[in-house]
Amino acid sequence: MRHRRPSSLVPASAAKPLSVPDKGLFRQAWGLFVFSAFFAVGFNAFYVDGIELKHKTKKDINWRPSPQPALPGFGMASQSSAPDAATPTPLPGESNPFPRLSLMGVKERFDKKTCVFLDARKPEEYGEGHIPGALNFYANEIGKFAPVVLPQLQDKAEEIVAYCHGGDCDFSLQIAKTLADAGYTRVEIFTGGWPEWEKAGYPIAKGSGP
Amino acid sequence: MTIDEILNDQTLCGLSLLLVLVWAGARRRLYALPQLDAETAAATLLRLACGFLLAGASLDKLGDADGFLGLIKECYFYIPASLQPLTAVVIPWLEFFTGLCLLSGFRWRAAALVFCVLMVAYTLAVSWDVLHGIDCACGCFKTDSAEKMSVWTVARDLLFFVTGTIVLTCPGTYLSLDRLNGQKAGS
Repeated sequence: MRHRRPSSLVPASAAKPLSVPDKGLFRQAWGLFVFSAFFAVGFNAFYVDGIELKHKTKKDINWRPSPQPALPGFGMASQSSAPDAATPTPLPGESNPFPRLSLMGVKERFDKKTCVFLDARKPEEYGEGHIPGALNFYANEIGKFAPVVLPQLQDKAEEIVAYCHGGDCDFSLQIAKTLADAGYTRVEIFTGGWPEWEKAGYPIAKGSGP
Repeated sequence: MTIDEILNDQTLCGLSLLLVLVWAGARRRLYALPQLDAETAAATLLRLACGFLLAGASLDKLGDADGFLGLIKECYFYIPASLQPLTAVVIPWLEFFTGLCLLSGFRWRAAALVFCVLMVAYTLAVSWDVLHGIDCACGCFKTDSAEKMSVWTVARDLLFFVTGTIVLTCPGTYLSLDRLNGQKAGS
């Protein structure tokens, strides 16, 4: 009597050959993509919460300038967090358009010395401890700090990382917006802020200077 | 503990790896199933998993193009600004239809190809963010997820890519509309 060979002893080479994608398959995949794209655009056109597909620039949406004078004049009054009629209309989906950095990303930039750090906290808090090399740019007194800090940021394409208390603190966002309005193109935010840096045990500097 | 907390990057990596191992075992014929070809059954399982994953990932984004656009601007800002709105609108529907094809087995092999392409794109995008220290949630399943991108997210997407490749190259699967149509599976 013949016994069937246990399946576990069948050599792997006996497995079925794998299929290789052919030209027809690429055509079908392309068809799936095109169908999805057309359906998506059509759905978006009729959906109540659909979005504008054309990229909107500040000019396109009647961008209203900030009431404060431009930064080069350094006549900026202290910023209020309450929105008013002259607050610039945010672009769709642009609640916070600045790249947000993790602790690892910030430490990498710190080690490589590829960016300038801006500490948006109060001068007293800055004096108690800050990232070495960071400049103090207190968000509630931009008019006072801008004449001191901005002349040190000559290159508008330089990478700038703003931080404050982490969590819900929006001081760093305020100064990031101010810098972006002034033409600085590479402004980023360290979301964890000072508490995360301090907790990680990374180098700190004390005193009123960087 | 919510389903989001359970299905984090680590557990999804583990589940994907498990499915790949199940398929590898079936391919090497380490076990057999009564009246079924184990390799085809394992490939079916992988196909359904890929479909469920992609269709499920799209649901939260389908009606929230504005939220997804915000996430793209924040986390994937290197996508050209003129393409960002189109990406926010098209990607969720592409995920949805691709997932649907994988689940139903209609043109499933073409859908597996799209799945692989999407996974390559996601892996590259997430890798860029992780390497540059961008502090963001990937928005892969929910636009307002609290879980930040990490090396685990990259590993998860790579494993998804491997599962997609297995489905793409497998000889056939069960439970597919293509079979009902009397076609050679996937052809």
